[in-house]
Amino acid sequence: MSAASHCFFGIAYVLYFLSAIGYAANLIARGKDRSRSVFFAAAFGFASHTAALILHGLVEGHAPFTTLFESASFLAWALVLIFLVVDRSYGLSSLGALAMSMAFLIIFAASTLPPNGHDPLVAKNHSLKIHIAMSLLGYASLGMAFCTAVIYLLQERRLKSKKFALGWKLLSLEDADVLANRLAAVGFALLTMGLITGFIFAAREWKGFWLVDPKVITSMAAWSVYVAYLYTRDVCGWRGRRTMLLLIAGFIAVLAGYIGVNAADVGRHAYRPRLFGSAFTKPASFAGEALGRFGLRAVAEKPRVSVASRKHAGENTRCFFLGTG
Amino acid sequence: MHIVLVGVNHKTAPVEVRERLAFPTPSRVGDGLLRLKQRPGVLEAAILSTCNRTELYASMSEPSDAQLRGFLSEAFGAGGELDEYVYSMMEESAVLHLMRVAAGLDSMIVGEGQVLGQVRSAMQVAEEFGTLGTVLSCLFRYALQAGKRVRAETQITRGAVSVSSAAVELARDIFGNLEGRSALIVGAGETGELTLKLLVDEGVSSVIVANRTYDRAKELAEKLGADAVNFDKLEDAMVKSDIVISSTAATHAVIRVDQVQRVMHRRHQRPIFIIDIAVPRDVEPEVGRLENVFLYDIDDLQSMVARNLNVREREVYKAQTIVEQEAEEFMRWRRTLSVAPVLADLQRRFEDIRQAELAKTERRFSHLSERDRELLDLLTKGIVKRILKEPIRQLKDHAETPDGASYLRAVRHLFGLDGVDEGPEHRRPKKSLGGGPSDDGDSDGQVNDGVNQGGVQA
Repeated sequence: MSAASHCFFGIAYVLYFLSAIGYAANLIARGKDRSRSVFFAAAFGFASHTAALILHGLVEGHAPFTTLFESASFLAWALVLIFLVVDRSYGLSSLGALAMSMAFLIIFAASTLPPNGHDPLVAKNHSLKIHIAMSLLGYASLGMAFCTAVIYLLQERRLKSKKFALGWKLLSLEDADVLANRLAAVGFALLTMGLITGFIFAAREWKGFWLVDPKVITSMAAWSVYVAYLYTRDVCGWRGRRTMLLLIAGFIAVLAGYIGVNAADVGRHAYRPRLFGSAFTKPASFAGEALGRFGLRAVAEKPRVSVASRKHAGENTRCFFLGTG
Repeated sequence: MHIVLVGVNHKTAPVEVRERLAFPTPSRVGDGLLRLKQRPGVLEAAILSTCNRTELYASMSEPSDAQLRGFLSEAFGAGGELDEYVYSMMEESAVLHLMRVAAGLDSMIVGEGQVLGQVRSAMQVAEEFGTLGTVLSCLFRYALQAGKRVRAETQITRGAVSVSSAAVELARDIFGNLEGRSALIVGAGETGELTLKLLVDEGVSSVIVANRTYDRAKELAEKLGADAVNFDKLEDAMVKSDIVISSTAATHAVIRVDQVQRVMHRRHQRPIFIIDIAVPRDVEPEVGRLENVFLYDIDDLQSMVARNLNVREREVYKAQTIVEQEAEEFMRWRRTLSVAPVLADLQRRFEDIRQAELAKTERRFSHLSERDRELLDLLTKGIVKRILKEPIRQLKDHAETPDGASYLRAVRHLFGLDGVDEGPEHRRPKKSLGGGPSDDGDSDGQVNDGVNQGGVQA
């Protein structure tokens, strides 16, 4: 039924890949600056992704982060959104190469992970939806801050080493510092709101000592790193390298929480097929399914996949990837 | 029409020669253009005068550089032989030369940026004084395009090639926009002042001058429109400044690590860019290891310049290809341009023949009604049109090929389009030719005579 969203998603998938390559090529290649055309590719991919999300949401009737794949897709979408906004004022290939690669890698990685089912709680609970949306948007903003920090470190390295003729066109240190700071501040605010809504939800719904949940721990760790970043930068007057390393550490903590928890399948945050678990642990089918999910053979095989998923899994559990089912 | 170039540049002539041939202001250039235009055979003219070159570009009726050389000698005045410094080029090589100049390939520093603007203003001045026609204005437009393409598509203009512009480039990598930034200049030196000037051009707004003797600082500060401070206030000044240029004649370090450490603390670690262009060095090298301090000494800057120059050299080949492409484009355009007047002449010639023949036989058709005469007119027009249709098409097609010119020459020859001046010599071979191909050669000859007479009267 969602051949259209499959199709849109496939377009976005391809365009993200191409624009990541395009930005990287533009960075290295000498000659004409083609970042504008790459920007349009990325923007078109984003529009296509948005259409896929909306269509899928309408068809499935749930928020676009109810399954792990959906959440990864939403995260990539948010990352591209923030990149496009930032790119309007900075327009730099270096940032594009990093951000678009990251967006592409997120959805690519999600497709190769063992499929975990959706969390039935998400479909019902509004405060949980807000919690997830805030957190994912926060991750995206912090991810962009991470990219900017990496660029800062590259540029700093370049300037300190003094061994360069024509460098890659990188952001200037001050611009990178200001941009990273803004992105981190926005990301931090969103992350904080995500944590608060999460705590409210957990306090109401979860039994037991939920603070030891692995995701809660990694998130608190990441949050503390960002507090340290903001504090040292604004109060202690730290600048440059050190603050950038904090931003990088913070995002690694975020990633550890987001990927690690799902990959290791621990704690209550993992997207997992609680009710129908046994049906989906055959690794051999993962790759094939992943391809199909990205629309590469989606249209042709859709009915079969659909039927199969209904039969085996019932409901949406099998529809781990956007557009299937 | 022939494109002719005569000129001197930094490779062929020393500055003493170039300065005597320079046209430093647009009005002087305009004056020169008008005088140049008055010379016999000059159809269009443009003068490109920069500190490295004076070049006359002209579209001439004869393929000769004598007039342009004469003009240059006149401008040079008496006392000195000019010929050994002057080069001249024709047609394609002249076209290629202008494109190379616009692309910065002929400059003293390859890829230098100013010359493109100078080519543009040479075109504008010539346009203003009305000495630019179709050919030269198109040539200049192609040259500007070649220059722009080389700048956009190669790295030939990228990278600073002087110590001061390298410093500015680094400042931009550190601070981004230099608008509203502040600079401190320690000691007085020429390179320091030059660098500061470039920084101010980039938007650096407040400048502080520090010198061991306050009076000297004050003097320099007044010259630069800056504030002066004494040496003991150096740390305070550094706290306030983003960029520090040091060029004192001191024999020991003027800026020490402990000082900079204190400064960085007071600056809340905001980055600082220190340019040490003094020899012996003014700043302790350890300063460069401090966080958020970017210290460059004269060797760092010079080796950066050397690397940039190296890159430029490597890009020359690529730029050359672009220049050749544009020159080829222009030459193709010129070939199509030369076909237009021939076609016009050819059509006029046939129309003249038609009119003449109609006039000759008018008496015989006096009994025809007005309407029939109109029909006769239309009929003859139609015949002429049909006859010319194929040759015109072929001429247009061949105009872009290298042998297009010979086609045009043949047509001019065959139909006697070269005007009446050359009439007698031209008619003779034509008759012998005309005799060959057709039986109606007789009437043909008559017609030609008639028209040529018409030409004389007109």
